[in-house]
Amino acid sequence: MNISFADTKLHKVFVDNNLYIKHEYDNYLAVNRRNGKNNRFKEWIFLLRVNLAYLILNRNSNKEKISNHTDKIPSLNKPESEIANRTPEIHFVQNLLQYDIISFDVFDTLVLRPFSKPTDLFMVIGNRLGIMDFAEVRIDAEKQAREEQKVKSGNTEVTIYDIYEKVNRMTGLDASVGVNTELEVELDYCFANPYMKNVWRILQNQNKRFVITSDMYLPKEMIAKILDKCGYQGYESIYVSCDYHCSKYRGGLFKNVRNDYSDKMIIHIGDNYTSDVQSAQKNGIDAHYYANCHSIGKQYRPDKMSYLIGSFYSGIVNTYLHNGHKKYDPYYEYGFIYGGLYVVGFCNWIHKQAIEKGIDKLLFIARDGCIYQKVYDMYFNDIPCQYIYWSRISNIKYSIEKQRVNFINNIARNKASSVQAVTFDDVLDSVSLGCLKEKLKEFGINGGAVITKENYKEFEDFLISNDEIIRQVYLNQERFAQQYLSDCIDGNCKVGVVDVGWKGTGPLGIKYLVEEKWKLKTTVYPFMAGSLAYEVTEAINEVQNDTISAYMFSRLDNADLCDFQRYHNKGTNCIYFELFTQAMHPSFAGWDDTGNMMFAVPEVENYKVVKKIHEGIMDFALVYKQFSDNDIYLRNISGRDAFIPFQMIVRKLDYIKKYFGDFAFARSIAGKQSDQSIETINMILEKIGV
Amino acid sequence: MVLFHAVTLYHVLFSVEYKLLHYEQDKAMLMVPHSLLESFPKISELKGIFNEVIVYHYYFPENTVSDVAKESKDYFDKELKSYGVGFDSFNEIYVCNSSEYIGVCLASNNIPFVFVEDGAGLLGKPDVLKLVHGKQQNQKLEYCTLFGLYDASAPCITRRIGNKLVKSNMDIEMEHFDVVKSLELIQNKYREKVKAVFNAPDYIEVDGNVLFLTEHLANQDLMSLDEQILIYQTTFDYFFENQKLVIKPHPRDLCFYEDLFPQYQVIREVFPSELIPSVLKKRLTTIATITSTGIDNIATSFDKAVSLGFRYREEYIFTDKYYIALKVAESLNAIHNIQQIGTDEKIVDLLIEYGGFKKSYEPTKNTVYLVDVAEFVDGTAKTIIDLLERINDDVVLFINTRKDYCFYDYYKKNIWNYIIPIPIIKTRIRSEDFYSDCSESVIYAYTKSEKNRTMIERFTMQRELSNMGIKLEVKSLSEYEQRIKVLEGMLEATEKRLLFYLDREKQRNNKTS
Repeated sequence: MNISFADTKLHKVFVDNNLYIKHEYDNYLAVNRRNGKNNRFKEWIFLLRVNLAYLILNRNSNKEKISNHTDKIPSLNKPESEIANRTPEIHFVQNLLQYDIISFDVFDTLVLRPFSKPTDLFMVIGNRLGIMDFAEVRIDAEKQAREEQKVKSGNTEVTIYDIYEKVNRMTGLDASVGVNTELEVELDYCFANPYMKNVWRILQNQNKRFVITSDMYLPKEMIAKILDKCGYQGYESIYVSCDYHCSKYRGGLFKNVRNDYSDKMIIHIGDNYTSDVQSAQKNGIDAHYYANCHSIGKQYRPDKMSYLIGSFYSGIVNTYLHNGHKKYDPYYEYGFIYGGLYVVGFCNWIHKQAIEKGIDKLLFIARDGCIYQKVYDMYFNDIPCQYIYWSRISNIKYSIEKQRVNFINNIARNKASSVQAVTFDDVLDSVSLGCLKEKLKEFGINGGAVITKENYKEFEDFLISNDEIIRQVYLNQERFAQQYLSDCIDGNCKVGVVDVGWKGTGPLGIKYLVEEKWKLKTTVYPFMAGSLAYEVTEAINEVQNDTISAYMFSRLDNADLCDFQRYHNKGTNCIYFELFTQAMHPSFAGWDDTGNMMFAVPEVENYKVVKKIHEGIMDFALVYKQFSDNDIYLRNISGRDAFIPFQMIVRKLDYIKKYFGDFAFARSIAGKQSDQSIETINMILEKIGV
Repeated sequence: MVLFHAVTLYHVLFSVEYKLLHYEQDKAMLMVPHSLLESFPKISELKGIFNEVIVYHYYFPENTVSDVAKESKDYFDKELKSYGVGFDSFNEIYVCNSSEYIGVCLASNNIPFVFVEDGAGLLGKPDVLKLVHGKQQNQKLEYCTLFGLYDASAPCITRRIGNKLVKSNMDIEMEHFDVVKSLELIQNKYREKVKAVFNAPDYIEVDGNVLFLTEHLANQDLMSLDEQILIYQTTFDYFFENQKLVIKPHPRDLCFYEDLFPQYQVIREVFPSELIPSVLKKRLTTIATITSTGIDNIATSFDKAVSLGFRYREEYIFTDKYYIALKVAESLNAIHNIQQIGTDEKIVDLLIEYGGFKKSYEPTKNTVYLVDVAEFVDGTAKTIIDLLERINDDVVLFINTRKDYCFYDYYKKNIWNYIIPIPIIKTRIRSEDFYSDCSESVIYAYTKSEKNRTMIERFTMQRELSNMGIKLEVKSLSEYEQRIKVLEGMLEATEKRLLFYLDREKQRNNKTS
């Protein structure tokens, strides 16, 4: 006779006695057996290691997340949503049609929760109850209740009422208030798994009969409420461990199902390999393993985020991408997984800043502001906002008297190190200074020659000596800029100007023009996703004196992230970061002499990709909003947390190279109009040897 | 002895009828894949009609063309041997759905067989099956094309059988066989047996006037389940708004229509659609489908037969644009005077017939051109530009489904002076079962006539589409809004054209390298 490990005393000692160990061990089995790896020896080694961590080194489940930091890498071979490799619902049900009775597990099968672990919901319950450290109390209470039950009756099945009696003893909280709050939170956060919902509906219309089988401390009335809220109706019975005092895990619950439908063909579907598959099969019930969304996604979620937001973020991404209902392309996923949290966090931070500073209107600067404004609009309607056309080049042109160094750097030094060969004539044309081309000869510069590291200094001298002419050219156009920005500001006293970063020349330029040069009665507050400069001293004063407010990092806050962005990948990280916030229109180049708006060369080959990234970000923002509607504090996303998913994706550049290598990207202003070819990310990386 | 090979219920029905009508006294065997028997176990009861029901394990292996003749022969020899027969045991072999492994086996080994079309009229439309296979089974596509199994051109095919009444663009020599009519010709005792085997009820009470045949599009991986639901929601809203539908799902279509369309009757009994006329208690006036070939066999039992066609399957998401264009034409009293260039004529005709459009008592003499160029090519653009320059009072409505902006010409920017953008706003009015895309879409009108321009600019409409769960709306734009929309259009048109040239350049470079 074969005795399985699950039936042995060793299993009881090493697995069953500790819920966390059991959870980790089950997850390990599920992931490995799903991948066809069934190595008993390795399973034992794993079990010993987990026992060592929990019982001897005294790890608890939350600490694990902090101590077990690893540099995870994203899914490189295919989009993450294809990893689970689930068959479409319509094919999945084909194998179920032969059965009379379909038994469904509830949590992580029919119903999903946007937290990476079920116990993480206790933090939200604690917040609603206003009890500090409630999550630990709640976990401990359940443990105590189960231990007590085991002594009393030999099984560990307890109800939520038993658990809250213990909570009451520890905190004085009225047990019924605790129970109701927990149910309320479950009802708020549980949502129907779209994959299983379709399976359910297909089978229901094929006149299949359903039962619900769950190992849970919520009694069947509460489970029924959750199922009802998620749109699951028409099942015959609910078998829940706390009502029957036996579990799926030990098989007793399945015996009940088997007895009640003794002459029927039954299949059970669930996400726990041991409880839902092995145990069902042992009790004469066929089983289908529906791999847990969180177990699949866990390997791709970063470790270092703050615990609550990290769990919420991971829960949203895992349940969205891995339920099997839809598959997404890598561009959509880039927006959803790596950009969504930062844009949501930034918009909520902007709103908070705007309220604190009494801002009357927010202006989102092109092109990064395009997606920011859409997400901001989705969340808020109390402070008006507008998307405005502005850019580095327009900024430099109309505040040239303050920006001479920037101007010269951008069109002389930067062009000399550009991937694309650019001539002096090209550069002058691109910044509306064609009138100076004739004068190049006077400086001994050949207009048709390419700007190089060897000759750009002469060009700098040329620009400096023609400073007056340049100023005059831009002065003619500046009145159109003034009219446009005045219209946008619309007489408001305090205006927030939003940009992605980095030195803040865009918003600072507007601030200078509005406050100092044009003397409009408006104060401008620059808000940026991150503050970063080429040299550590650049823009330091503006950050230090609060002229600029930065969300994720600056030289003052999260300076390590600032360094990562600046130095990792040889300073190219801003390119990948700005992939999130491209827009589907060309860069704004200012006004011509007759007041027409001018735009640079449109990178049309990017627009499909940009659209997909935006869709991903917008969908993430929508899902995040829906789930956080009842607990707004979940929208307080720290700048560090917002940055971590991006940090993970660019730690190594394989993902970027694979999917965005051909992305056309003009790193510096003044593209070559006569040629119109643009640098791609791969070209840039090749040139700098990354 | 005769062998009939069947893959679907329709094929089984054909095999039974053909056997009874042409080989009543002869020995015959029916060969079916086990998946069919698994879904419809009663097929094994046909042993009363056939001497044996041979069940084989369906598969279509991945192997090279050079090996396929031997490997397929070995495979089927082994399968048939367990029933004590081989291909050479049969005087005639009738193969329904030749584009399966058995067809490949017979054709590659030059074994004579009779080609029976896969569905009514499909012999005349070989591209349909190619399209289906091309989406999911490249190997199958390659073999069946190579061995002439789509157009029945394989040299070993001795005869072709199909329904000649179905319109076809191809002139193919074939023996006519009508499955529905033939059912009436077989003896009553067999007819009842057939109905019993197929689980067809004696009769079905129906309450409606349109019978709609669905297809298992998601099951065939032709689209996702969400898309399948959306195509039916769209179809029912635009073409059958005030009709009482009776939905007959394809035997393999598992979509939950009862939930999605509770106002309609769903016939859940699984039987071939060819048996419908004999089981419906009440005669329905119209039969409709998107592309089910089943409609062709039973169309004569109804007053009207509506088939939306294969192009609709690709373009149904643009039905709103077609609909709004026709509403604009209606507002110009020109619904009777429409000319189409590149549009899906079937959609336009059916929308006019079933979309509740009114013909005007004072029809205009102006023509409304509906234009939709699926893919931009220089020549087509020239035709369109010539048309725009030629007309004066007429109106051109650009559906612009592929956003080709065929009216865009860099050197003729004045065309934009006569362009009127018509944005279509879609608002979600339901949270459940919502599958539509609510992003704004725009059609463009062109006219030099001030009167028509004013009428188009003032055109407004609003309609709720209950199955899709959206509100469709066109609002009159202010002068400023219109200018912005035109600018957006110009920008997008420029971008699209640039992209087109970039792609072409890339293709050229690829070819030369």
